[in-house]
Amino acid sequence: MTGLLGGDLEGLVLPRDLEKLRQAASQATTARELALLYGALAEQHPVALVELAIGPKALGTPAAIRAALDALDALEANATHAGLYRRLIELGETTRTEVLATAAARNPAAGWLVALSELAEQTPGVTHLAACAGHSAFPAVCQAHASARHHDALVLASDTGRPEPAAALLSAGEPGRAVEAAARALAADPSAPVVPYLAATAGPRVERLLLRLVPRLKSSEAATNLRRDLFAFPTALDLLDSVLPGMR
Amino acid sequence: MCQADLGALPPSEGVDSWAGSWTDLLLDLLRSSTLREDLPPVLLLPGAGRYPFNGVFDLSSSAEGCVLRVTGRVAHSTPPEQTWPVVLRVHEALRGVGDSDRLLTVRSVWDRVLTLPRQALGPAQGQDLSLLVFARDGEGTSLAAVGLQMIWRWSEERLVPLVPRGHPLLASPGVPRLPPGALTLDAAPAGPLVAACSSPREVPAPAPAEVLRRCGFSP
Repeated sequence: MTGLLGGDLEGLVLPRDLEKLRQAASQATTARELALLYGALAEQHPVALVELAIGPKALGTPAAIRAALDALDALEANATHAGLYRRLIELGETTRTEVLATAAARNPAAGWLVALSELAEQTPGVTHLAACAGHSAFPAVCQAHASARHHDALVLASDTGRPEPAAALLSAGEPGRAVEAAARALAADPSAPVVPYLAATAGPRVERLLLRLVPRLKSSEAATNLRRDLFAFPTALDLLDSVLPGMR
Repeated sequence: MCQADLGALPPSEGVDSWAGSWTDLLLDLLRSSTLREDLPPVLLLPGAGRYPFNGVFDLSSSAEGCVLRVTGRVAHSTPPEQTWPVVLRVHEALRGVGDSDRLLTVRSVWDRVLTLPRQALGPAQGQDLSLLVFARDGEGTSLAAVGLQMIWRWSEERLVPLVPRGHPLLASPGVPRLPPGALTLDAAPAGPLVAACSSPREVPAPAPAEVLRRCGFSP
């Protein structure tokens, strides 16, 4: 048994010895032992690794799940990504966030992360949106989370300074949350192009929302940048000009 | 005041607090458009994609007894942050435009558009421009356009084509070489006009409630 946990797979015949493998894995006392076993399986018997890590009798200990996370190249190559991560999340409650974060880091544009977020997070979407913020799929991911009603996560994602979460919230019929998200984006990045994105989402009649955004501005730098974009909205521009002198 | 118009509401009121039905909203919009002194809105049907109103602009003005509304779309294929400066450039170019005569007003809009530097109009240099100019004075109502596939007017709570397909008003998109001719209407439209930008796909007349929802009005 020590040999298997040390990564020595000599003499192992699969699938005959699968149960032997499972027993060895269940007796591991350290994460390192499991990591050695999983690493060896990843190289020599990846299908057995899939069975051991996410099969019907998979180990659900934190150590086993973390060992699986260390062998993701092999696991992703031999299992559907959505199924793999869903199973890992179902296997261990304490490691759910870790699994989701890893899944999002490795597959930031994946649509299946939207549903997976609901399994793993109290505020679904936070991890995925954070992982995806620098990716070209970010606008589509925002829309997908908006469709899934992950509104709180979208508001939090605005702290990246990106305008797409506000646009996605508006598109999902949440004008109040869109204003909140736009204000947070401007607080994080005073040059965030929130007006172009809100107007591109809802059309010229978006001025109503901009009138609600102006009082929420926190810096004169954001207000000054916003002023340039408000030229097409004279009422909102007038409001901004009336509050701008009082801002620091 | 039209209670459903996002642009016309005071800051303390919100469309999200509107509790009426689509029918109430439609009737309110039609009534307010008829009663107001200015022109009824032109509702440009949104395009496809994540940002359906990208590049859309809408402005109105009044001067010496003539009211004007200009609605259009330009540079809609670039990301919103790249498109918006083009929209602002159009707004800037049309600032203060107007005359006491509706036909002169329409003409002066085209004159300003035609003299805009093409490179200021986005990567397509204005060849993707859709524009509807709509003006009214004491003598009548006229409109001129480019880049529209169809224009509809309300008739007994239905949308009917303002002009038949193939009418010169439905010209291809792009900044024209010369100012297009203006069509003078027999009677001012009793309600908003609805327009669809040119596209390879033929857009059918949408249902009234669908128009309002797609154009940014909410019940």
